[in-house]
Amino acid sequence: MHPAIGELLELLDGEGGAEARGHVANCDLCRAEIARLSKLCEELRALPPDRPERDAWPSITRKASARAKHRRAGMFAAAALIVAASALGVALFLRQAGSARPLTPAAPPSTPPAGAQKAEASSGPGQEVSALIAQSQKLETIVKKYEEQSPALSGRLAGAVANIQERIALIDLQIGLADDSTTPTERLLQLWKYRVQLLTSLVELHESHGAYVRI
Amino acid sequence: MLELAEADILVSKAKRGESEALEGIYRAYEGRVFTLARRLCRSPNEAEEVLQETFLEVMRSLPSFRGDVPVWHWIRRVAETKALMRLRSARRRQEEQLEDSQEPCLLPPQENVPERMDLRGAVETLPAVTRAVLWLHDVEGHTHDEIACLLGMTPSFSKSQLSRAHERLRRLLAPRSEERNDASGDR
Repeated sequence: MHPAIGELLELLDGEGGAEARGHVANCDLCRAEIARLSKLCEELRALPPDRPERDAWPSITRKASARAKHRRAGMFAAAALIVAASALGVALFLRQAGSARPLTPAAPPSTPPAGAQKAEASSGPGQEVSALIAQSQKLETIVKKYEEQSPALSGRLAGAVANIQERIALIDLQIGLADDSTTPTERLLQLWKYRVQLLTSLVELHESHGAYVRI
Repeated sequence: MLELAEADILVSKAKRGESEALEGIYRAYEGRVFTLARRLCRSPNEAEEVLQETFLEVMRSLPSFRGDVPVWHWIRRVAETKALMRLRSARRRQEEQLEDSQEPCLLPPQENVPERMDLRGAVETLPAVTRAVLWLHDVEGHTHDEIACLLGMTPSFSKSQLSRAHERLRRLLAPRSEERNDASGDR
């Protein structure tokens, strides 16, 4: 009796029992079946690759930049929470110590800008990054207001806006990666500068559209 | 497919945040990831979602990729995990019975089977889990122990699924006349 296909597959894997091995050594049909199975594996490996129907890369970059933004917002919230908790701790400590010596007013809590943990670690470029983040946030607020005021844009303008937004998304993606890695602060500075430039262009585009509408 | 050195350069650049390098990695491996996902998932849409999830994960984890395995092996592992997670959760949702005797036979009705089916078409007709095992073992080169870990099943389950896949492919790929001979138990 011939071995089952499972036993032949085990022999192909270099496993299998001595009985099956002995049978195959003397059976032309089973040797042919093993050769067929082996050829089928080769044919499977040689199948041409499939391709997705549409290019998934733009969608991936959009999602990645949205996640990076979300992560930065989370970092901002965590930093703000830590600062607030520290301020509260200092205030409580001073209050408890008040009986021993006069109470000194605690300094008001200050919150670092979003994504500025790395920037605050050093002076110089770090401070510049913080300033650029603040500028970037201001510009984003302006863009948001324009978008709310006139959501419908002409075809050409919409194309230009989409192009800039796509580039901003890519920058956000790189900033997101830089936040996680040991990227030098100079690189972060360069990315934030570019982001501010792009946002400025976006504001200018919206301004020109606003002027056109008024005319 | 990228040479190993080329891939390493792209990975280093991508780690520095160069978006062109990230896209380079995607372009180099999108076909292989999609093909793998297509074999492990139930539909092209699911495979496309796995493709996206895989590269989002690759981007997220790239800074911690140490490079102690070739980048393709790492990306493949991410894709396999993403695809098989879907397969496993779909299986749980549908409470499919995976025992041989209870799984419905998904072979097309005999009258709809062409005289000789092509290999890609025949693979498509296999049940998802059976197809996944066939692909992971015969194409990606995983052992039954590895497949068992990936699927959360036993190695003997993996072996039985592989046997089943080959039995079905044999029937689908053989010309009808040969099939009739085979049914008579000549081999």
